[in-house]
Amino acid sequence: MVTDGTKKPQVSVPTPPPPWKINLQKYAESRALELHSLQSIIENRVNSDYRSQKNKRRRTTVFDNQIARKGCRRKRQKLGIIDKALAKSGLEENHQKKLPRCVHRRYELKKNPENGFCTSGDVTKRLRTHVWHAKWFAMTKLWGYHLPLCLQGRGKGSRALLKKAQTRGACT
Amino acid sequence: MGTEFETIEARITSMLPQLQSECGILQRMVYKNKNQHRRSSYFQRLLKVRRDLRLLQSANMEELVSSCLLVIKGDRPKQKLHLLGSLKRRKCDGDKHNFMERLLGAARLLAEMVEPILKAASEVSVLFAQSFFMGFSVTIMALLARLRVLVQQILLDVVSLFNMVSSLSISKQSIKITHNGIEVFRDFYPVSDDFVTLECVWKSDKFILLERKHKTNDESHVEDSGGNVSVQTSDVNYNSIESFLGDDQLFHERVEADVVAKEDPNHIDDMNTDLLTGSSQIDDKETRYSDQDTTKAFINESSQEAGLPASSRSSTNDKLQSCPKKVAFVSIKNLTLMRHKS
Repeated sequence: MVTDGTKKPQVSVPTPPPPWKINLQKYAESRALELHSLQSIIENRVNSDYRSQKNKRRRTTVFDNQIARKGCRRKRQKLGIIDKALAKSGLEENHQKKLPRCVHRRYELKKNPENGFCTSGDVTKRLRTHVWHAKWFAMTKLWGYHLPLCLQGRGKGSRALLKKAQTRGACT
Repeated sequence: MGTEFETIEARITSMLPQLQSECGILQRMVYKNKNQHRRSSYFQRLLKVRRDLRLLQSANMEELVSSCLLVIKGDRPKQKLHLLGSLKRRKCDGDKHNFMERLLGAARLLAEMVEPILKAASEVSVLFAQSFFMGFSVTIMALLARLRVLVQQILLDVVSLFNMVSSLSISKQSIKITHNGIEVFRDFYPVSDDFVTLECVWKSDKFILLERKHKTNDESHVEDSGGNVSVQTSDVNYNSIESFLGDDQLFHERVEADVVAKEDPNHIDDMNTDLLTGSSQIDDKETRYSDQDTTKAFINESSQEAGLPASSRSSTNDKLQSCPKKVAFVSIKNLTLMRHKS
């Protein structure tokens, strides 16, 4: 009771709001002495070595958290989605047709065993470099193996076109 | 001593608003730059500095400092008595801590605040070295420099105030309260407990707070208190009773003036005085006799005030008033005789 009676309601003086704009030069110059003393203390602490520590450096793309967001569409996510679909259903003709060639070729390249040969759809064996050779050369099946012909092109380039034209007599 | 605490008072009352304004600027800087810098380590350090400043604001330093100054100055005796009496309560008495314990907590916080400020400044100086975000880093460095100086100076002043108040709370003292022309002496006797003194030691780049516990000597305390009790109370009581007996006419005139100007706040004041005497009985068990005398004096006053409005029976009232005075006088003699016997 005594404390309640004697206590006066202490109305705190309202603090003025912080300034909307700060004149940077005046602000720093008015605190020059404190800044110098603080600078000398930090210099003593750091031994005048102001490099940032290596374990505290960050990548420049650390701000990019779009990969975590599912709503955003990007190439990376498309690739990821396709890979997931492949992993689930395995190779099927429908999916095989829909895949872009580079993706399909990469997937075929992953199927190489460490030793020996892998087999294609029919029972002919494939070389380890089959994926690359299939890109650049015409392939035939000889002696149970799927082999490149080692002739230039696969019949779709300019030389092939010229040959076809000459045989049919299109020129003159 | 007087000039010392006056300079401390002037200094700390000028520094606390500065600290408030710097805190406001820091919060605005953090608010504006949070989106751009929030993952970086220097900004995490800044957030820790801001957290400490918010804690310090919630500690309410201005109230603590003003109550310390009331105890040291003594220009408001009632509040001084109330504050000194609150020091006798321990922590486990209730949820509230007394102002000395809160001041000790604030001093500990102030001592802890310097290290995050220095770490934040060293991180921001790396920005300076790389000349990244120059406007931001210049402003933050200036802010932290001023904050460091303010925090350490306030810590020194708080420590010296704490030591002054603790030395006052240890010593015995009598406080004079005058209320409507009536003088009352209240005696304050300290609890014989351990007390704490603070000390600041400068270590390489900041102050470190040291707390030392001391014990009061119980034997000398008891002897001194016993001796002083009889002397002070006897002097006080004799003076007051003689003043009553000697100045009858003046007292009557004053009472009539009070009757003419009777108002509600007078009643409120009387209630407050009664409450104060009640609390005094609870607080000071050693001084029961002196308090009983003062309560009897109050009872006499209240009876006189009750009797006064009937002005037609002035003669009978005078006779009635003379009787309690004699009784009071006789009782004091009896008390002094009992003390001499014991």
